[in-house]
Amino acid sequence: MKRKGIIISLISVLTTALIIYNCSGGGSSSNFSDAASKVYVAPGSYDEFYAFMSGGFSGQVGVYGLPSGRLFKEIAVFSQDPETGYGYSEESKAMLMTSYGFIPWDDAHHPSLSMTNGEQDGRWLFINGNNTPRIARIDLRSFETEEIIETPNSGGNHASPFVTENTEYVVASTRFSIPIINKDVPINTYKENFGGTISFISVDKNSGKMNLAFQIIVPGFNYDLARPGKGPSHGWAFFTSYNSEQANTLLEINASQNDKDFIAAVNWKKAEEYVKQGKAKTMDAEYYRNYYDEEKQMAYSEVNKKVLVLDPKECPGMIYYLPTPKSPHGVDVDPSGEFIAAGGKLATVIPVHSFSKMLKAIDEKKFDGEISGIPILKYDAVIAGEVQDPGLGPLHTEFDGEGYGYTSAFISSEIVKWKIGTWEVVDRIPTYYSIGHLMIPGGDTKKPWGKYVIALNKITKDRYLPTGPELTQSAQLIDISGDKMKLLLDFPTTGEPHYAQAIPADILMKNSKKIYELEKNKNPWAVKSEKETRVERNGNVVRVYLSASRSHFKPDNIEGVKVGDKVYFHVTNLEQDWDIPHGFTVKGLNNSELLIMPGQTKSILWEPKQVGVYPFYCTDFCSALHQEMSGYIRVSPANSNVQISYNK
Amino acid sequence: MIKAKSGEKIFTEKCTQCHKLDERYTGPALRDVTSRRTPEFILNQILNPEEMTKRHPEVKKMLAQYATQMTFQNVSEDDAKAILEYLRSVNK
Ligand code: HEC
Ligand SMILES: [Cu+2]
Repeated sequence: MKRKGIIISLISVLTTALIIYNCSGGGSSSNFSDAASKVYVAPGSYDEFYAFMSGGFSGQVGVYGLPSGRLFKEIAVFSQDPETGYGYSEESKAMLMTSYGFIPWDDAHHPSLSMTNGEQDGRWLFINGNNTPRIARIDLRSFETEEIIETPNSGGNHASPFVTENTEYVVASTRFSIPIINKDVPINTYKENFGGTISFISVDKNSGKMNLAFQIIVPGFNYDLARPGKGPSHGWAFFTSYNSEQANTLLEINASQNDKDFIAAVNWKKAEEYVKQGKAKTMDAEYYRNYYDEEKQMAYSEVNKKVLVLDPKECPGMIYYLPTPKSPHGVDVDPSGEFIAAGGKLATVIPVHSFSKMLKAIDEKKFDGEISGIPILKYDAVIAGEVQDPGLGPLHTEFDGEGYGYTSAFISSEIVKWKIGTWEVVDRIPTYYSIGHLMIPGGDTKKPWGKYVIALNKITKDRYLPTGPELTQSAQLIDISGDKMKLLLDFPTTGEPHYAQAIPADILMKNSKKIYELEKNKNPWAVKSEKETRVERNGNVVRVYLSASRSHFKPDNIEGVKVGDKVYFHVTNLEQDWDIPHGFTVKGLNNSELLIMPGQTKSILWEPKQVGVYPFYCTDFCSALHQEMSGYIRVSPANSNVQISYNK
Repeated sequence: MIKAKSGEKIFTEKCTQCHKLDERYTGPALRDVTSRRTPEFILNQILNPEEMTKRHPEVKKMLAQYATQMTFQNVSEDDAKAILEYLRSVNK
């Protein structure tokens, strides 16, 4: 039966494609011009939404406008950025420190906007590093990464960093289980030695500062995705898991449930109580928290050595398993907070659990055994309904706030729209191709903005001009304002698009930072006027305190540097108006350039290896006389007597 | 007098990367600017230089000559008045 459905939908894809092809010849398709007018943002006009798209393996976040699909910025998060100097400059290097040393890359998956009362508040954007488990916080006034915290006791952080209703916490968990604490054991001792953790990282209401509040030790499954509850389910968080076969205790469970893995439902308010009661053990760990001090314009690292750990065996009522078919990937909570939809990658239905039924089942102890102190609830006692025929490979669900869920189906490349309550599929639309996540602006909050759904596609194949073996990935903008979904726009995205978030432009625009005020610049290497510019030697360390202003550096003739010196250029941009950055580079710089915003100071290390005269210049076309914005630095032999000098 | 003193400090921090008193730099020398221009002109130029380039024929001419658009340096109206006092005090 299922097969047939798919064939039919494939045929309908083909016919639509044909029709579209025919129309483009004529050039006057009313469908096209209708779609075009819906995504047309006239020159000089603003988009309606900001969209934040994960850069995946680029380690960045892309900032796009919707509905136009225009790319505005890529925010460097886990990756060094040679454009701005992020991760290269003396001020920012600390951001990428971890307990494994300096790591200039990560796999960034799930952007998550901060919330107040379950609605977007436009303060911060969080995103996880999947490979070396980390969570970053981006400030939405500056669109810069402000903080990165590592999570210990984790073999990869995928189910992260989804936020609770008031951003009390961002969550994390172990994609891959590992020995906790990690140690040298044979890999085939998985069952006895490996475990998982679920982490709650608190977020300070005012500063946004992250702190690993506590971890919960869980059986060594693979925890995949997560969503905190909202409204009535506020205080809980839900985590999907797969690979539950690895646990010994699973053998006690009856055979029909082997088809199912679990959603872990965590009562984090209860967990907080247990921590307060002193039930948590303090475990040794090592993990970094790196933060950017906006006044000093400098990143600092702090190394933490302890973590509080809760064991479900000693904490009854803190965590339950909801059996869920089959290797579930996404778990998504509807705007009312009552329904919890799972994307069972290999399932033939979308199971939707009921939060109120879950509470009742817990009350009535409708359990089917337990694993490591975690009671397993009976499937029938918690399920609200199953969406039949949801496409092949259902992954993620977002909500429109009008009573519908939209689920991405990876294998059949489509979005399926279904009705909450009746669970019937009411519409479906093909995507090109292999959709992973999908996103409705605010579609994960209590108050979705609706209007569009974006398909985030892994494969584009024949959709764009080919660029050699590596092809672009894509996003597709689909109109959901009517009964039928309508494809409006197809646009390429950088890096692999995992999840995305979108927020109305007016919420962010009004807070967008324009300059760094010179008066507030507390960078220890800043110069506040040209009078303070200077060059100083201390042993083999030479510090060049440069100012940049249209269209000159001060000083611009520097002598007395020698081969073997460590030369630090500390460059302050003395301008105080919006959109007047200056750049800095010097010939043979083994580091990146710097791009310095008005009122900012950035520093880069240069180690000249050969004698000669080296030009330096401004890399940003800052003015009509930009080509003139340059200077020379003379490098003498190591044993030379040339003294430090510069034009004053 | 106090105003001129604080004006000097603000001028040093916000303006001297582009202006010297006695020689051309990125912008014109300013020693005698209070003789050349009215106080309103100077305050407007400090507080709203881009508007001045658009509206004022003299400033438009200066832009053609200096080739750099002077920009607002994030100074308050009081700062601008203090700078004006300072510029008056150096014009001797
Ligand atoms: C980035 C360089 C720059 C900075 C900073 C700057 N100016 Fe200017 N200024 C100019 C230029 C260039 C002109 C000529 C007009 C133009 O091209 O915009 C000018 C013109 C002026 C004039 C008019 C001079 C005349 O002869 O009419 C005054 C007065 C002035 N600036 C004062 C200031 C003060 C006070 C500050 C600090 C608050 C300041 N400027 C900061 C570049 C700058
Ligand atoms: Cu420049």
